[in-house]
Amino acid sequence: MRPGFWPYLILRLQRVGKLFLPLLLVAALLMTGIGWFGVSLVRQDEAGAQRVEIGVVGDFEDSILRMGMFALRNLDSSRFSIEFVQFSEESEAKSQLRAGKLNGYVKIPEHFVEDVYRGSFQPLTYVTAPGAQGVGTALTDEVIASVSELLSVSEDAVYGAEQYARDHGVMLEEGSAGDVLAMRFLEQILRRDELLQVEILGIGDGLSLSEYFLCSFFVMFLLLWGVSASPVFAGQDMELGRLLKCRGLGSLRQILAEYLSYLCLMLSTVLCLCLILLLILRGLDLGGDIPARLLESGFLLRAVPVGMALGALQILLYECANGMLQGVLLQFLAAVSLGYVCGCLYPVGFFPELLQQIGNILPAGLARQYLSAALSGQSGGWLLLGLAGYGLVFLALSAGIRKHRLAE
Amino acid sequence: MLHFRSLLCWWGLLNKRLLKRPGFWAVLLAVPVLVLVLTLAASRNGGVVRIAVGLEEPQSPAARQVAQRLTERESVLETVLCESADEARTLVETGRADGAWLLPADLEERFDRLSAGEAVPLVTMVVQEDNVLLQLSREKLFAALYPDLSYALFAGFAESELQERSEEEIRKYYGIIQRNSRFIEFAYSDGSPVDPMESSFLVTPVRGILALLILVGALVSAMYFAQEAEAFVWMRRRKRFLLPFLCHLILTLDLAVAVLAALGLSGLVSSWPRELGSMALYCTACAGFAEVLRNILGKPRRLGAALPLVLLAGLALCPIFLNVRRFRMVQVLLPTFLYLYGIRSGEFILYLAGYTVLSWALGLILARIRGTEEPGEA
Repeated sequence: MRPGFWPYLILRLQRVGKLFLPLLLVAALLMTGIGWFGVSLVRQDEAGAQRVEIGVVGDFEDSILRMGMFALRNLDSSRFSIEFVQFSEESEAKSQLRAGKLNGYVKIPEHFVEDVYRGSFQPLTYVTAPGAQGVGTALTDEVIASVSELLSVSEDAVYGAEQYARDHGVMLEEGSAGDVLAMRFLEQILRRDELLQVEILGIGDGLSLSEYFLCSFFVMFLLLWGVSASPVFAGQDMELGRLLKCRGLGSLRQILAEYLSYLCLMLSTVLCLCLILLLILRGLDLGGDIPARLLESGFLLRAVPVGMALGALQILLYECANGMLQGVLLQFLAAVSLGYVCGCLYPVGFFPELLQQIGNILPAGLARQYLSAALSGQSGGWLLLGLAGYGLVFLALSAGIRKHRLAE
Repeated sequence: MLHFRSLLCWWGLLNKRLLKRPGFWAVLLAVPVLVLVLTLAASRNGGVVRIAVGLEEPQSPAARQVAQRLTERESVLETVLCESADEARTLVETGRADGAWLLPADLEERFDRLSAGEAVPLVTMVVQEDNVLLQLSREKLFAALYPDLSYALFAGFAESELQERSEEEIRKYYGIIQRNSRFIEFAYSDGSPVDPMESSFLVTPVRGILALLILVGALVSAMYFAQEAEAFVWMRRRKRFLLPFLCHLILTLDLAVAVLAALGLSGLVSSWPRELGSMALYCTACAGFAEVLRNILGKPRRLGAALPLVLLAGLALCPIFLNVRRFRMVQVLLPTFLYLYGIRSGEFILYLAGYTVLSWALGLILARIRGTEEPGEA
């Protein structure tokens, strides 16, 4: 029998069908991992444990340091976002930092208070963990730098007051001019939250951070699915392709059959898993109103064109790589770099304007926006067109490469 | 034990197996391109929180000065200066900014009222929802307000307590000491100073992503070896037990060359000897990790299934995008975690060395137990 498109498609479906259950299991583990991670972060947040933890190492026998620590932990407005932990030995703080229990610690040099009184002192040292740092650490470092600046300005003003009192022979009843001014500064610093009048608007047209990350993690999951699908392409060579071509099945129809079977596997695995997960979340009454919103907004329906475009990209990458080894590496590079630039790993707003624009027109960026549009009740018609355009281009390119390889 | 010369010969032959593939070259060349894009991302302004700064009266000198302080400094907070307070408020309402700081027209007067002991807010902060990032960002605002506030407090104190009325005299003594010293210095736990380029939150993922690529490479090599193990069945058993390690090591070292070139080009290398040493150790650790996993899972299909899980664990638990401080027991099982910390800490390099020895030993023991040192049985 002359093999045509449909017999080859059925053959491919049979091949990928064998992988359905193992890949469903992998996808379930992946999603459980993501869910466990997300839930533990949310619980951390609910318990107030998301506060930044900073150690303070110093000689707390000193009454001024003790008082300062008391003020920081109980009176200062930072107590809602930063938790200060007291250590008398640096080794203790270092081991806590290593164990990941602290964001960093501030080391107060010996005789710091006396040295400040004398006007010459060693600066405090803020010790942070080595290696790559996250967003939280970057922000904490910046807050510490702001505090440093604030203390430097206060310190110069206090020394100025001391100098004035010395030059003019002024002695105040409450103590030295520097001490009295320092207390006023301290009072103002502790009450700095009162300087701001906060107006909370509530969520507007945009998505909340959790909804944003739901869309971006879903896209990231689909991108990484290309890595999971490596067994589909294991041991595949051009011999079968050449045979099929001899029997009249050209490169475009070969690619189409492979793409459709790949897409069936991808969408059946992902959608099946999403439905199970949503039903479990609804059954256990977890995730607030998000499961209901996902079902009502047509989020899962929109996952189909997103999967189609990203699936076509993955087929193209495996076709370019010509082999499982290079294929997996290329899938990983593409998934992580696209996910990063398109705002699936960091919110897209973190990036400069130009990069945001580039990220928004790349396939993963369009996919993220298309899913976000579902949650914010927008149609996202042109985004759908963009995804369809990308899908067609990727398939045409794949067919072109296959044609070239078959001719070799 | 393989002889050194035959080891080199094997090295060349196994490497040729990889380098003759154009796809593999494409991956190696894609690494610097990826790094170029990510470095580009960090070279322009961007921030974890986008704040719109709005002036109720654009001509107010005090408000302009505070706004200037907020916008001119390099920061992980992105500040956008708006023409008016309404414009800043609109940016928040439409989700184009996380918050707005509205500076009043009478800011200078408010400083004075505050120094006189009156409770008066200086800035109105408009947010869509309050969160820890926005709470921390307020410290930045306070630091920008503080120079003017501290002068107002000093002037108020001089007038009320020191009976000094001359503004000239007050300004003279306020600025008499300008130490401009940093009250707090930054350092890593091994005592080395913090490199500002290294700590840019947009650049730091580059090293982590590339390190993860090497780990993925080692795992793919394990899959590849498990698939093609029959090709080596003719070898004598005594000469064969290190072969899978060698295969993984060759692939990871090829990738490491591309990664080091990319790190060098992007200016992320602070010390080449340290970088080379830790990278060599990391590649060896990855080879050990992959071999342990190959011996546990056995079949290439199972390894393929484990790959995305390891990848996800690496992305979530290693300090690449997030600095997760929980799950340490799981984190130390990943060589990438130890490598990323080891770049700055000699202590973690020692842990990585210990990890390498243990993983290789475990790989060999598992191979013996399972009998998978016989490639034909893999």
